[in-house]
Amino acid sequence: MNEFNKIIDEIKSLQSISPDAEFASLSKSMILSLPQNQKQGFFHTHFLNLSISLATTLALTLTVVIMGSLRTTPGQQSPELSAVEEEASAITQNIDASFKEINQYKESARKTDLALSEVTSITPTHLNPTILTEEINRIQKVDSSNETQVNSLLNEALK
Amino acid sequence: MLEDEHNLIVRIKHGDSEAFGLIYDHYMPMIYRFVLVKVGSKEDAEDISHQVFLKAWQNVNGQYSERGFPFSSWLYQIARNSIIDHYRRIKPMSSLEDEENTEELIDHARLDYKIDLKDSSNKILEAIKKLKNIEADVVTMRFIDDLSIKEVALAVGKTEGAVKLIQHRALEKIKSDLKERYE
Repeated sequence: MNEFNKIIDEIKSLQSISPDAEFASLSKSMILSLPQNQKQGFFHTHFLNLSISLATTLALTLTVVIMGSLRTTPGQQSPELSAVEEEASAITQNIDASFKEINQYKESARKTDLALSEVTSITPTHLNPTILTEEINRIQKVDSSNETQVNSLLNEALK
Repeated sequence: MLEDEHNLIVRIKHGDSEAFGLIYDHYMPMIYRFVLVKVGSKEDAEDISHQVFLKAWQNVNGQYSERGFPFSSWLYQIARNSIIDHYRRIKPMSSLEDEENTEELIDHARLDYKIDLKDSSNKILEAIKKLKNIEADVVTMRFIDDLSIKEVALAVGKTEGAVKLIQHRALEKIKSDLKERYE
């Protein structure tokens, strides 16, 4: 133990080492001429934290949007998503076919209606005027003042 | 530890340069000796010591918390890191290299320097130079700068028990070295 004490005393002899007085004075005045870094106050810290929170939220939202768009890019779809899309496409085709059918019925009804209107509005001009004249001439004209002829026609009609 | 150090630190935190001047006058010779024993060059020791107190003055508000942590331990932590930075500047290392490699680098570099001291001091300094970096740190802080075991433990980031062991081992090594060379 005495040996250790002797060594410790020898080590303590190095306490004679000291910095140059001129250097120490200059160094101290240089340091004290510089400003201290100030601790950030509540206001600064509070709003800095808020900004960080907003930035984080924005970054997460952007990430979700980008990831979502990547997932819907053709050629990179999952099997489940492809199946759903195929089903949706088939339903859309069925609906389109039904609409087509409805349009066909509608067109057909419109044409029928048009044809009937035309038929009802056409006069019998297509009949041959010569035949009509002959028919008229064939009709026996009866003189209404001749009672004998009128009676004879009535008797014929009643038979 | 400086008398009324707590009040001085409070004043320094409020930008009191006179209070910092008192702390500087008390601790500068200690930090300078510690650094000189580690780097061996008067110019480098002055430069590093200046940087230590500059960092302390500028960062005392943000980085130093008094709760159970002596100001001296904080200053020696800054000094140790500054010495590591100094050796890394001399021999650049990749950031992936671990602390052990840095310690080895400092151990080897210290063997090359020579401080102009009186003969008896040179003998003991030569023995300290042969110690491992952590052993030299503990011996310098404990016996050259008169720090307590607790202050040293906090400065080097080890338990008080570990510091006592390192101190004992270092003294044994110094004893063996002196015996080997001078008896």
